Amino acid sequence: MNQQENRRGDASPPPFEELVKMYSERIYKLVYSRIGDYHDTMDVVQEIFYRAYRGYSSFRGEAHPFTWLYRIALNTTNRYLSKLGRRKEVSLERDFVHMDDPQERVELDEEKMKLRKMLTKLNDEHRTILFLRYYEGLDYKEIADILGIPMGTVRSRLSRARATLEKLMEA
Amino acid sequence: MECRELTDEILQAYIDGELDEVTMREVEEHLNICPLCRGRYKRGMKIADHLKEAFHVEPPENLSEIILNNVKRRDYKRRTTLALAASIAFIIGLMFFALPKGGRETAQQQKPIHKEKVEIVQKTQTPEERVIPQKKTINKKEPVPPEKGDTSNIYLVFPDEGDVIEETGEIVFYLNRDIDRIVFNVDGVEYVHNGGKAGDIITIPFAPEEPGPHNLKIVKPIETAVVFYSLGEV
Repeated sequence: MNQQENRRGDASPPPFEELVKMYSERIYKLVYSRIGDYHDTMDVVQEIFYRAYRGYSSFRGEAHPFTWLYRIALNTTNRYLSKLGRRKEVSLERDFVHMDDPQERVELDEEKMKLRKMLTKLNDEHRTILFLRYYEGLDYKEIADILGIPMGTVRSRLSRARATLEKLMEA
Repeated sequence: MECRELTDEILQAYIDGELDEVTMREVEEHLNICPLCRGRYKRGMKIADHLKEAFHVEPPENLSEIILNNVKRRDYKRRTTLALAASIAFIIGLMFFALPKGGRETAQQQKPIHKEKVEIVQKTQTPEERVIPQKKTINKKEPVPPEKGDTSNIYLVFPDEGDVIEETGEIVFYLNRDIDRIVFNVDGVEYVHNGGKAGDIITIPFAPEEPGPHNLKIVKPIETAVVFYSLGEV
């Protein structure tokens, strides 16, 4: 890691340690929103940053480091989820509503709790795009870059995700 | 703009601030005169506001530290494995060329033996064969603070300070009295064992994947710590 630090000047991407400090919590939240289990999330997050570390020396700053890291995070989580799918050991509707989980100390009122529960009913694609827009606050262009899809698709996918969520809330 | 023109997608983009100026003004004008669409807009805004909180989760403390330690260990392991593989290749090459010609021919005739060696090396490197015994025998839990004043006895038989624990190694405790719970941690990760009766020898299969030094600390019923070494996965 020191090599990377030394090789990069001020204008270059930050040292890997800085990257971890800046983005680890955001990556954790993204993965948790898709997996919903503390231990599995930790495994996946560590794998993401190890992959990032291995690839960081070849990262030339073509994209924002966060976008680059986010892509790794999404791909690594996709692989993890597809393995789960093949093994069929865990339901795709894994619940991240366990309030006894020590990682969740957030008090939510009834409606927000319902919203949280309904989020688990959404498919992974919809949940991810809602997370990027409404938790991360990313604009459509940034979401399109991270997911590698056109902006029009971002817009229509968000709309479908929102419509599905609203239907679930009304049910 | 009329109601039918204000689709969910456009309303959504309006809420997200992603419309061009002209369309945005058209939407605003329509919302001012249409209570039905204003209701849709308010519901949309409410969900957008609540989503941030609904997604919120507290990451573990020291997350960056945990990640960086993991990266360093895995990188060290990878480099060690590569160095070891290079050394083995170098030694085999050296042995081959150091042999006299007659010896080389003999060595070539003994190809099955070389093949067998290669197979052994590959077998130990197969990730599927990793032993993960701690998942079967002990429960990974969040750190539990030790109880003060607990004077019960437990002895750590293995590893002792400086011992080398192999990948298929074990942690061994001897209980001097009935103990209902043993809490220990390796490199900061806490484990809990259900304990046993006085005189029991408790063997816990434990396989650190990472080579190098590891810190083993018993937290309950006594506090003690040793540093042991692992060869890791070679």
